[in-house]
Amino acid sequence: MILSTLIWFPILGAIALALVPSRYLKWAALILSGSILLGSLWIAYQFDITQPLIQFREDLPWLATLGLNYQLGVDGLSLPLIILNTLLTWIAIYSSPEATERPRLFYGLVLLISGAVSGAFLAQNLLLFFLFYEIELVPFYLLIAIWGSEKKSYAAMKFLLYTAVSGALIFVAFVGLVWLQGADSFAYTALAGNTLPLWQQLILLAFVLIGFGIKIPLVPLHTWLPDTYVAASAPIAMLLGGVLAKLGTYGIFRFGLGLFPEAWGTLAPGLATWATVSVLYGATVAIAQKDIKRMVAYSSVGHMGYILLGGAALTELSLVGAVAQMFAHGLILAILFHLVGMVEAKVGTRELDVLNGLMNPLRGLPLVSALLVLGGMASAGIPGLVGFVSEFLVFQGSYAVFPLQTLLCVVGTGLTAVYFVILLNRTCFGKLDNAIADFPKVEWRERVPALILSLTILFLGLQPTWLVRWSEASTHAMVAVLPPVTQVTTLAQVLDRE
Amino acid sequence: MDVANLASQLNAGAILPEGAVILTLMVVLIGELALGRASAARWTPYVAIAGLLLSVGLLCLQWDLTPTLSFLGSFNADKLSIVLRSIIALSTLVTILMSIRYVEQAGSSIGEFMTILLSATVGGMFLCGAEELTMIFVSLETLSIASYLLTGYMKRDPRSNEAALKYLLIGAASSAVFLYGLSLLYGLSGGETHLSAIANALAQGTNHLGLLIALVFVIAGISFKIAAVPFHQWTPDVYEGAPTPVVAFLSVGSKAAGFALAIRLLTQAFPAVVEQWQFIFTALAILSMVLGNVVAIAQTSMKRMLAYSSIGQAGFVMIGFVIGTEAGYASMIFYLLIYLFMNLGAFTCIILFALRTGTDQISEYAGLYQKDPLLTLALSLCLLSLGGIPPLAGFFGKIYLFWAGWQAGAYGLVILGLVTSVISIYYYIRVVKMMVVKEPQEMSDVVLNYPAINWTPLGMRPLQVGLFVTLIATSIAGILSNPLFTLVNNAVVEVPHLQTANAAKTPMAILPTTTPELPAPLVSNSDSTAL
Repeated sequence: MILSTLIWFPILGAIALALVPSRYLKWAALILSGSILLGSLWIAYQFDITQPLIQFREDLPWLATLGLNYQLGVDGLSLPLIILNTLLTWIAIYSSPEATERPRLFYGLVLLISGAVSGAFLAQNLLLFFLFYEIELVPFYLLIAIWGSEKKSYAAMKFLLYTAVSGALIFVAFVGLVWLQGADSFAYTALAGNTLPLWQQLILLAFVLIGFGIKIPLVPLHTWLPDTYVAASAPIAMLLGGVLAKLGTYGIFRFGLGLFPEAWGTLAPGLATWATVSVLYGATVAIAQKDIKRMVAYSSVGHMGYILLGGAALTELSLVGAVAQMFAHGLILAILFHLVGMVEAKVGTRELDVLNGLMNPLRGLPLVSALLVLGGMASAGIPGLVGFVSEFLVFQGSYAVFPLQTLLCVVGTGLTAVYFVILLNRTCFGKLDNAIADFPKVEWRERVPALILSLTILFLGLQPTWLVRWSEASTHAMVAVLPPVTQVTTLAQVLDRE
Repeated sequence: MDVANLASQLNAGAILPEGAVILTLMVVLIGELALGRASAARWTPYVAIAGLLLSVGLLCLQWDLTPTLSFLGSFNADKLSIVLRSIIALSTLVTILMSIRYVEQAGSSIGEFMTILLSATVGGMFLCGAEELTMIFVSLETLSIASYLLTGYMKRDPRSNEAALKYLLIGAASSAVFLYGLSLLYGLSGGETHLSAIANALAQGTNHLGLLIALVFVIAGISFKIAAVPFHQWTPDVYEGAPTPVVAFLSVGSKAAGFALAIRLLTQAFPAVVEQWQFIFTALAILSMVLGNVVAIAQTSMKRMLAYSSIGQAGFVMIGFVIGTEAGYASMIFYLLIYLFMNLGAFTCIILFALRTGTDQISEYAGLYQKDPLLTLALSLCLLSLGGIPPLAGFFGKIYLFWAGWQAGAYGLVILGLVTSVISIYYYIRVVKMMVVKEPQEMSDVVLNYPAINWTPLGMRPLQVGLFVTLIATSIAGILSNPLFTLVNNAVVEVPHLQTANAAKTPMAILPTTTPELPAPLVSNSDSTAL
């Protein structure tokens, strides 16, 4: 029941917001999202971390003709993402400005997205996942198109079309799998451990990879990302980068790795290389940016590459690292987008060439700058912060399998440090120009989201067990069923085996 | 043959629902003549609505009866025909709800309008069960001629006249071609007019070329009715010129009748050339999906956009038709049912907007959410449902279609369907964007001067009811689609010739369909086609 609550409470709440007087709208939205945050934490409390299987199962018959049943469940892979989703929803609602236009629609859509994303993470039926995956499409379109900044209309349409194509590809993969397998239902458990020939698995996996690759996004499917992230307002960019991109990585792990382990093993070297290309591309392009929001957006492209690398290496450690990286990246990207949004709101620009000396204790934005430094450090993987933990686990786990790719990715983290140094150096340090330094004061309540996020980043960086223990049992089970990757490294060997 | 025997052969009870419609039609017509236009306008619409509800109710009562051939075999009241007749009656019902105010405001007579519309309905309903060539042609012409009249109903509007003339000329030509196809069938089968007798006679004959020519002619006639590309040329102009409620009826009721004709005529009379007609329809489906959805992007008029979108939607429906499996037919009919609500819902909204502002241009919808949130919500949901966004009904309709198509091995068609659905999302969301996203300062002039919302004038209440009914159906019919789909599936399972078409084409059907003792002639057909 509790899992359904996570989905339906926000969705019904979104509808109920229509009846709330406009003065209390934000409070109502905060209470709704706060209660699902508590709900997800309660699930975490009840969650048995030694148990690798799906927990809190719910199973109701729905459209049996289609093989679509209402099947929910949570395991170590989805639990951290659920918490991330509910946490970032609350923060997005909290940090949205008081003067948001058309607040009823705004909060309603955010809550709707929260419910749909939870539904996608919890769905144990492929078609149910697809349904939830498609539901968030139009709300996100509207959130970008109505509350975005310049070029919002173009960006929103681009986002919509890319995501719709991604949905179509995923649908083809799912339907193809069920048909080839001869199953009469889209239930995940019935399809995991399928016995398809390798070439069929490879074709289906290719559809899954490209479909979710658009969502993540991986180079070269990423062209929608800079436009969309930049056009979206800060709370929406937070949700886009923090939560929505995780639907892609989650999908690749759950439906790529989980359903086609053999094909995944075959493609693993290619995937690791793909991940490396993404990492290096994202980092180098970020260095060239003049707009800090765009820079953060490209940093996301790079960081998603680590997750794919961890998945490709397929060791227990690298998978734990990848799941941790999903959570860590969500937190870090959220804080960065939040602070960049704050800088833009207070200073009025995002141009690197204009920004200067915000660290100035009297006339600048000292706390915002300090937290921005923290966020940048976390993103660059400085020890003591959560980014380090997950990246270290990924690299440690992957090095034995793909030494070259891992080393190149380590170079990528170095490049991350480069562009964050550029960003921080230009924005926070230097001499503040007195002519423009007349910024509105940062209220204490505006600092709350960034403080919560940075404390979480710091705490999980110092106490990483709290981050990784949820997924250990599940990833262990995932690896246990897999053929070791190192045995099959080239396509030629695969063809020989056939 | 004595009278009692003849009466038992007639089985006149089978057409009671049509009888109810005809009776209503006469009450409406005579009522208006007797009491004058102004006073009749107050009650005739409700009589028409009541009559159609009665007709649907009678159809429901017939559901559990054993299907019998009536009128000496020319009318088949099986479950398939019951479902399709209900779709047509319902589409007329919703069309009447939306047309009262429209016709009233245009200053024309609502009684006459409804009389013609009900005649078209009767024609369409008979077409759904017709199993005999003369019957098919007469009911098809009843539907067509009534449609021509409706198209030209706004006689003072030159565009309406132009549309009627175009529709009439092209329609008459296509009827002639269709009739020629039927005459070939008649000749080839040695003078048979009943569909299964024709199939039986043709199975033994060898005149393949003649049969193919007849097939092509018949398909041309049907494609005209369902507006499949390349027989769609009349659609945009007619849709733009004709009164909007008529367009709504043409795009749903008339189209459903066309599909009903296709199911019955092609599967029953042409089992010898299943491969061929499925091939032709595959081509039509591909062309319709691509052209309908691509050209719709460029439209600036709402009615024209929906005209092209309805061509594309017909393409999706044809996927279910060409794969020839039971699940395919069931999902096709289910989609027609869903399409009825979402498309008529969209038309209701357009009519409401046109009544209040007098325009159909998409750009004039800018900023509507501020002035009329209900209309914005309803039109957005209907359009998104047409685009296949979950959890609306259209999403489930498409899933059923694509899943059936994939199971039957029509991978190319399904992938093309998915791609064109993505394209269709683009132009549907464009309208939603106009209404929802535009800032107050970007509002169009007509929206700026939007009249106060007033549901009291004559005919506005029915419009409101129609809006809510279609809106609710569009929102929940997908989520609760299990009973509906089961119903449709039962209707399809009981029709024997749909299963033979299936067995001939794809032996690897979804469910192991146990086809118990088929009627003798049909068995021989399936043998001959299986070769």
